[in-house]
Amino acid sequence: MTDVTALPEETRDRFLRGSTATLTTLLFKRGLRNVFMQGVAPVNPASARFAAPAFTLRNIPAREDLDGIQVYQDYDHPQRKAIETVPPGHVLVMDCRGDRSAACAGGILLTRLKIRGAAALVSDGGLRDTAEIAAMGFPAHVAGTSPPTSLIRHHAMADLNVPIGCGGVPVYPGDILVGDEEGVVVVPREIADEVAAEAAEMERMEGFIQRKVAKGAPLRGNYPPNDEIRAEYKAWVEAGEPED
Amino acid sequence: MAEITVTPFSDATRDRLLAVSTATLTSQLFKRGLRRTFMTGLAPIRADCARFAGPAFTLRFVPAREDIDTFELLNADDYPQRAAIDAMPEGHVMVMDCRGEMECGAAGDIFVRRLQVRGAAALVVDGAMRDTPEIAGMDFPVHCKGAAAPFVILSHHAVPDFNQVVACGGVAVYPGDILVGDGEGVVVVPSHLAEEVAEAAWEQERMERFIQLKVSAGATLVGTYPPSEAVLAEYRAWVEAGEPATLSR
Repeated sequence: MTDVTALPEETRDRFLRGSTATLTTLLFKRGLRNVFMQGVAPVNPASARFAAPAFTLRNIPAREDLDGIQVYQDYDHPQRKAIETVPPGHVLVMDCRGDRSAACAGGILLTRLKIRGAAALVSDGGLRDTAEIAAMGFPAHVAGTSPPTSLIRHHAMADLNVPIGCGGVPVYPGDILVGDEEGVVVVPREIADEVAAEAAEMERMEGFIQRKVAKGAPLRGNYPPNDEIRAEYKAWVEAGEPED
Repeated sequence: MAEITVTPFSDATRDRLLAVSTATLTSQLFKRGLRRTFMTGLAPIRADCARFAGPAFTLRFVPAREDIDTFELLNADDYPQRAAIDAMPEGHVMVMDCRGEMECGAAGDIFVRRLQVRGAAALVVDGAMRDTPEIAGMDFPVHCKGAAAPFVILSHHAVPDFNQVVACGGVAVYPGDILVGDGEGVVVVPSHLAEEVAEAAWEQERMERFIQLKVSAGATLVGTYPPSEAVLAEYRAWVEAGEPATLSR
């Protein structure tokens, strides 16, 4: 279904420079309306940015006789296995059914993710050790702070990397997730390169319009730009995008 | 991860479960350490056609995506919802994990009719259903969160690997778990506990019928509910006497 090929450097760089807001608009233009995760925000807005293919873990509700503390004695517990299996450069995405009353992970697991070269953690559940994680310089987007252990609410499924829902958005393995200060957007892999290129161009034009509006230009004629402003923009680009 | 072993479900256990309430079952499960067993937010479409007991057969939905969840997908012969219904053994309960979302109907009357004809025990959905007026006329138990007219692909994508562990109404459902429904809703009983819990629940309800008779006849709650040793002895005698409808004094 989804092409799980590596993300080209150029596409990744374009996503990292753009905003999730721009991406949602470009996806909307392609008929995709439900792409921004609801109720998911960065633990630290200063280290929120990432762009990477998704590797998924699904959780279902915990059951008292199956999800005791002893399950974590098993190094192959699916939550641990997911951390040790996510390929470098990928984002680990956890489906917690929007239930933030327990943590999906904590400081040690995120340290391991970071050391293993993962791009980020995204979850529609809670997170513990958030003060420590905020200082880690590793992007983590979650539904909130929640110290209780995941076992009180979540049972991690062994079938890693399956289609999931996260923050109300479908996430297929290999979809490109992009995070910034506002949250996380899901871009289908097959259109990621094209959307990234268009986003870079849209951001550049919006930068130009932003300058015009800051200097007193009205919205009419400028936003959206008419032919005259488009010509002016083209000249500005050709002139090397001067600061003033 | 440890595999869940499914314990076979006997007719005797089914009969016991059909004779007790979900309220009693949740108490019996609580006694065994299981607290989250009742599906939150679900109710039967018809309270007088709500009862069932059967093993779970599951189908999972993830959120829909506009370019994937199209009419073509819905109409394909191997669309997972259609495949699941034909793969489900007789006497089972179809459980659909809709993530609690209610903006579309997870299934409609034709789907329900097919379930009924194939001998399913019930349909349990933690989302909405469509064609609910027609379904209400079918004499087939359906428990869901409400009604919504739009069809399933508006917000749901059926995952092809059906009969996996799912979430429904905030409760974990493992394939083969025994689901029991009544006028109040649906409770999930792990299959290895079904026989024991069915017996204990049936016994609890028989004792409660006796206590009802005592309280109706003027007994105080103290000593009667919960029953003292003397009342327990009286209860045993009542059972041996064939559970008469009125108490001899």
